[in-house]
Amino acid sequence: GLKTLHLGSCVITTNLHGIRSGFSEIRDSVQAKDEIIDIRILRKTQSLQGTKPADRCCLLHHILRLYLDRVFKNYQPPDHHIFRKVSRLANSLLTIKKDLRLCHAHMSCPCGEEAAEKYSQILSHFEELPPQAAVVKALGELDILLQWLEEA
Amino acid sequence: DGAAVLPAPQNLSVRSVNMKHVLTWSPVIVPEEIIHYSVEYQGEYESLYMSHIWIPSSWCSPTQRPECDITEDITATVSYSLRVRATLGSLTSAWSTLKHRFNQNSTILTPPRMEITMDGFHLLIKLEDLGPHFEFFVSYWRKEPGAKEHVKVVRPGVLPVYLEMVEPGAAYCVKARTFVKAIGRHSAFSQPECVKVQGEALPL
Amino acid sequence: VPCVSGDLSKPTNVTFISINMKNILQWNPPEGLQGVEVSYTVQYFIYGQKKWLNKSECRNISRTYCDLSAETSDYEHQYYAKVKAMWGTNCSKWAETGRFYPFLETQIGPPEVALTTDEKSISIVLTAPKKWKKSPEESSISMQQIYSNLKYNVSIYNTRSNRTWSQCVTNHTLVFSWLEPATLYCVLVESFVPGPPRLTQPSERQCVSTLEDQTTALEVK
Repeated sequence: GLKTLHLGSCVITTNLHGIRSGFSEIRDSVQAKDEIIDIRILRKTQSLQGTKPADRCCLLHHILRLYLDRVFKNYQPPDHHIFRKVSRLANSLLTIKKDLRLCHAHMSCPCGEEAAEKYSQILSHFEELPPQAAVVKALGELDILLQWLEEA
Repeated sequence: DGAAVLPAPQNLSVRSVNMKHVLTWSPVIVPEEIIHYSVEYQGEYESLYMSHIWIPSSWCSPTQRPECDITEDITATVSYSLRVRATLGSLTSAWSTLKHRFNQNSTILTPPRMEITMDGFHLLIKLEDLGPHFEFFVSYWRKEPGAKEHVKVVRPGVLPVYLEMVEPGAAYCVKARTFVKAIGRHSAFSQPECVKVQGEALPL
Repeated sequence: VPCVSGDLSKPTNVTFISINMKNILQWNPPEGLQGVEVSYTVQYFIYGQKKWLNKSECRNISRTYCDLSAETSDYEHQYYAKVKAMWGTNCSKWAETGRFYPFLETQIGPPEVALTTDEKSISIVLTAPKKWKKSPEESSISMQQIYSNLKYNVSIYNTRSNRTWSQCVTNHTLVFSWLEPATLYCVLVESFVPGPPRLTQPSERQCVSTLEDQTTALEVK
């Protein structure tokens, strides 16, 4: 059925299976465009499941905002087929972010030091790259983010 | 200005049943001419973050029919804007936009068709394949007062699914409903279907 | 001896074949060089790290596969591999795989299936597939321990009624009772993990017959 994400006191459900199968349809072609293979944006040391539960909601909220504000928005799809698939991912992650905003409104999405520290590391990995290369790499790493959600 | 000459399609609406979504509109009539239509959509993300961007639909850019299967375009549980325009050669109409945004969570879910069979003393159910979105909640019980109702979650598949071992001479009833993860909704139950098991009831 | 790179065409179809975390890199010889005594060298790369690493057992080899299971065994990581062909003093450019994520891509092999029967029932005992291990001495890890949501799709074919039906289970033992005596039933089992689509590999089809119905057998005597 649906996947329940336990993010501290913020608990949401999402159709993670649908999102993952959507990404798997474009994974090879998106990752093939990422030629900078010695840099990884989403690293094990900043993983969601490696973060204390209370900070997970905030960390995920920041990561999703990065994707929605700077990745999907600036991604230049090679064709309409990829464009539609990316639109599906963007809209699906938007629904998760909207759920996190509800948690935020109910004070169950606190931002502690760990979340802030890990997100700033992720952001620095992202910004260390040329803008378009960063966008392509981040999109190609959605399987990592989705695996973090699976294990959250 | 060619754009204004051709009237824009009117009466846009979406018919959505079991996660199959079809956009329809009134045809633009120009005697002895074939009109083509182009459909585009915008999810909530595009509306919020890139409002100038519209995405051509998978199957209807262009199409000659006054309807469009947008099932493969509506792929997230957010509200979508849809628009259509008509073209005739170099003439294009203005865009006509669906009045109310469409969200797949409003789809009509119908009880699933099912076929109850037996192989020897094994109760089997075959469910219609409604696509990858669907799971089925199957409820079955022995037809006697106070009988316990069992529930089994069944995923779509080619083969009939085994439910229960049945006793000769007894009768069993089955009903099913669909569940769609993406929208977190289920259909109503189908009408129960009952079958009688051949053979004599076992001595107590 | 350094070779002149690029004079040889690259190996083709370089890809990982992964079953139960046994990750084999395989490729086809360069176009037009089938049957020629070509040798190959393999390197691999851990995504996000800094350099290509050698696989000593796959340097100057003539076979067209290389076992990289040990080198690609960390679930957290994603990998690349590449291979180049050498013939005399000529060698090809590197031919590279796409990004390989073993945890998401490995095929889950079929379980072991043990069937026992009596007159009217078949007992099926499933043993979860085993994860690849570095050496026989290493203790076995079941794929169930890695994928806790591992399920099995059991299909059973009644050769007399010519009917097939299936059942999705998570436990390892199931009994089909009230079957028809003296009837051949065939069983086939497939492991699967809900999530991103994966290739699957069903078990061998095993057939077994239920025994004669003893009551009728006695009457016949």
